[in-house]
Amino acid sequence: MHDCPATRRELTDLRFNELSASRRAEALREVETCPDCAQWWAEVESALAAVHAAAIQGERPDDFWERYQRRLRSRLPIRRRALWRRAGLGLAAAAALLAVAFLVREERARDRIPEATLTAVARDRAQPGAPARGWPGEHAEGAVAPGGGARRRASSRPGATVLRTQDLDYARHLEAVRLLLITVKNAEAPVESAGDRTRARRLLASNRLLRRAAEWQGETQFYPVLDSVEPFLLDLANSSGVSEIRDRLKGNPVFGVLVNPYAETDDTDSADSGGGMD
Amino acid sequence: MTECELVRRAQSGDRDAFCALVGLHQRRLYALALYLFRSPADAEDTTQETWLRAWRSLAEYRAEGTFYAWARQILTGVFLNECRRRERHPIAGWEERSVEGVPDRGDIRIRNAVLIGEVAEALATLPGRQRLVFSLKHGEGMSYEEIAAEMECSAGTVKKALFRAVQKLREALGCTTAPQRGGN
Repeated sequence: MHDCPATRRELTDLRFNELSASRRAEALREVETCPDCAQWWAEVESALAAVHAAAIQGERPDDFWERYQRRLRSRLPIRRRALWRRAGLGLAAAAALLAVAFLVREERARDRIPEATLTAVARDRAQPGAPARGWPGEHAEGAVAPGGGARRRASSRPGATVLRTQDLDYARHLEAVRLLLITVKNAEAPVESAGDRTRARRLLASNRLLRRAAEWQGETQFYPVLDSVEPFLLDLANSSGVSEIRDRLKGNPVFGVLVNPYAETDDTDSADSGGGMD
Repeated sequence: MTECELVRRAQSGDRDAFCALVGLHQRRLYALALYLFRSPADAEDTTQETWLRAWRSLAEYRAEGTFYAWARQILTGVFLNECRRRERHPIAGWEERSVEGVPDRGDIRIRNAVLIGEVAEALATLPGRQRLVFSLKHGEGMSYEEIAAEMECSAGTVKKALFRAVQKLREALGCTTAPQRGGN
């Protein structure tokens, strides 16, 4: 006796080649005798064909894969310090982090960023002759106060540009990452705290968002740093091999800059500047 | 150079060999991740993370299966972790999110873009694990047993999940293009 639900369950197996030859022939016979099951079968075939076609249409162009490979290559752990230097990453990170760490400290101290800092950082960010950057809808001259609240003018002096909300977002995020990485580096025992894992997961999520934003905005100071810390956050979020993470952290110049942004950033100590935090 | 040779060189620390290995499999792994995460940005990030993990654990790779299968297993683990995390700490919009799957290409035709959008929406109706089962079965051609081993569940569970996934996709996609019923 024909049983539509049972036949349809078997048709899924049939469609995905999970039936023996004899069961296959029997299932096909059942389809032929029942118009409803035949309709069901046709609809399944149609749906799976659409999924297949969409997968083909969704393929990425070749230039995507070139960028993909470049990005992966830049994120693969490199053991020799000289290669880091060649990449110029440490210097870019140092420039960005010196600025943001200073901002965060100032903000904590006074609960607002002083006029001079706003002006200095904004001027440092400005590239002579480069087009003004900003978030969509943000006015070029509208300086933004910490906390994303009221706007304030950075300076009325000629040549001064603005400090944007996202600078503070980057700063707060990198400060949080810095503290977490210091915790891991200085821990006596392997870090197994659920709290640290939760922090790492939260930071990983925000790091992804900020990194994408930095990439989209062409934020060359922040993107390499955010991209470099992400693998560490990923490992910490999944608590895989904390001692190994700690070893890698100690040999990573970006980490050195993160934990001690005021250290000299020349070649002689960029990779080891994190040692001062022990 | 064969894949085995590339693996050997990568295991000895040759980054070029590892990147060549990635180049062999990156499109396929990305396509799977796109099915699972339904967002090109997430697919890119998770596959990058997968390759990074593979690089770090390369010493553990024993060539019992293909290198791609090993990488896929890592990606599956990443996805299941993400599913578990989202179940514990749901974020509105993750499961409901539609795919931004239409690539930014001038030559893509509108009907293809519409098709991609429809499929993306249909995939969005599947819970994470059903989507994983469907992707491994439909996209990767794995057997029930292989999927069960990868997901650490029974073959019966895989079978049920696949049936439900197909049922939902049929409802979402099948009726618009299916032939007219001729019966009864």
